[in-house]
Amino acid sequence: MQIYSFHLMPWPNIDPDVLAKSGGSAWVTYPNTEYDPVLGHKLYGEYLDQLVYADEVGFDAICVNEHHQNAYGLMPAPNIMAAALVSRTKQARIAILGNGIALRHNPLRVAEEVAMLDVMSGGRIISGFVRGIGAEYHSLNLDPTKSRDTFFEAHDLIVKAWTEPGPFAWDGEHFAFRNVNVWPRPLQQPHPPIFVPSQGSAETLEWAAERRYPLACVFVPMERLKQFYDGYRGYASDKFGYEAGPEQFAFNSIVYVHPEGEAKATEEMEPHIRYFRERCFTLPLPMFFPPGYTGESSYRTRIEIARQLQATGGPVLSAGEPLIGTPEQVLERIHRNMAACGAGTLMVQFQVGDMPHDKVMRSMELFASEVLPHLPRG
Amino acid sequence: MPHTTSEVQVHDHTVVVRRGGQGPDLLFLHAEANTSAWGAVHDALAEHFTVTAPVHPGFGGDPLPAWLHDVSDLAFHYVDAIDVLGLHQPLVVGASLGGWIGLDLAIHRPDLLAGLVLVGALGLRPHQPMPDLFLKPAPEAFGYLARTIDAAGVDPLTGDVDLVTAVWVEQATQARLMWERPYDRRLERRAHLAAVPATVVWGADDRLLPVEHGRRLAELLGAELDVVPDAGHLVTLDNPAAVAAAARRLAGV
Repeated sequence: MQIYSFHLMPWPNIDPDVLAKSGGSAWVTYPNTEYDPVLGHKLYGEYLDQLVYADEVGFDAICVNEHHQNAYGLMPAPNIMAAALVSRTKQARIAILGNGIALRHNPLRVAEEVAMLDVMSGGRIISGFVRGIGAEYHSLNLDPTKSRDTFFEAHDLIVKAWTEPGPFAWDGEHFAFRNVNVWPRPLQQPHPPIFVPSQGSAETLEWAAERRYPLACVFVPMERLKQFYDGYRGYASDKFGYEAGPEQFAFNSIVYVHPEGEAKATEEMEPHIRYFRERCFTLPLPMFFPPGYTGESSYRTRIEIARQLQATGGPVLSAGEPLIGTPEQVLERIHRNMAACGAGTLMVQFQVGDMPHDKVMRSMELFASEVLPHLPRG
Repeated sequence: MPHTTSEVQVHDHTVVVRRGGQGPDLLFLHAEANTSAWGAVHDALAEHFTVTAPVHPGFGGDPLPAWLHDVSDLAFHYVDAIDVLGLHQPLVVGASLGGWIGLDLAIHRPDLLAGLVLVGALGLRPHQPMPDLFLKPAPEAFGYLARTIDAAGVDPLTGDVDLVTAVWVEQATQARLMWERPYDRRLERRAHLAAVPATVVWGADDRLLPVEHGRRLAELLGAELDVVPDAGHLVTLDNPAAVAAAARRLAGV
């Protein structure tokens, strides 16, 4: 099992009144006058400390990601976060989950930056690629109908830039270069491992399965997670002639470990989960899935999911059994959840919503001493 | 008013066309909302014109074509379509996006047209940002387009899934044409090349683009501005008779 520590770096003071006045969303239109840079300085320090701690206690990877113009996650430039972590960590891989390569006007910038990070870190980079969620297309004013094709072409260009001798010319539908000749080249050969966080659209599942890229779908119930991962496994076996193994799937969940057991842990965690669901993960459908962002059948699935979430009060932060309780309870449930979806990578999120630093650290310390040593590694 | 529906091949694209009425040729270019069906405005126009109303590529269930990059691609599509449809110097009536297409067509090929009726036409760069309809829930966004539009059924959380999906698919084409810039910066300097008789029709209560925008457009074209009271952006929906009257005045029929 591979064990990753995942962070969103949320803003902890989303004001419900301001939220209501700005269209009910912490994305795109939530005013940046609500951001306090002095508090922001303190938060970046704490959030980075939490990821550095995960390296110190032996996690396989620590994860950063990319979202724009929102109070949900404060990492618009994940490579900057990765650079901060490179110099403060020794062992753990740094998983950038991912660079929004369809959001960059120039994908060679991503090829350069990730290659730099890979060389600087001694080959510790996992290079996630994402399209960016729909809100990104509103915030950055990018045409969502070009998202998927731009993503595919940017991926092809970056991989070629990493693996084939430069200079070469590229003449694509979305990008054209007379001289692709990326310096530095990555340290890992042929290139840093590629990872695909996804919202489970059929088109992405097929694309990732074809290339055997590991997949992570987050914030959906277990039945959906299984549906998405089974979809990937189906493409792998039926179309691409191989059986997808557990190492190709990640199981993502919030975790809260408390010595006194599930009731106490749930009581302490509930306000942060509610904060996340009601204030952070506030994405009306037109913002989350703008027209053309995905295929027609994937949109129909999204309508279903949106209606289910509306009926059940918002997104789930944990597929399957909640990883909230004593170390023993959490350990057992990790095994059952991962078996249920066939995942070989555990991706845990300790900090949730407005959860304060000391509370996160207590849970991380207990996890490190009582859970981590009992999980199979490798 | 009786009308026929048929399919024609325009260059490499199959197009659905509705036709009806009698009189001089009129090419009706529909707006960006789900308004490609034959409606009251077609009936009103068909009393005095032979109305030809094609569905734009990428609308009405037609998937977004790979060749469609911007509105000019649709303008040049209609250069082909006027020939294929056998239209003889039609009067072009275009609403909103349809007006933008008609204006671009008239700039490139004024010789093909008898005249231009622009109803709440997009295209010219607005002085004030337009409301961001892509960010609004579909029922609210539809409300910006016309006073009389019925949009309750297109709410993704409550509406019929097939209808909601159809609207969303059609909006993809709209996004391709209007997401990054819902106008063409080049039109202001080119507008004088649309050397055809023109009328600009504007709803007095337009919530998308104020009447002042229509006035600028009319000045650039040397056209008459017809402000229609109690109508929103799509006068074609809110007051079809006013659109028909403007077309008749311009055509002299």
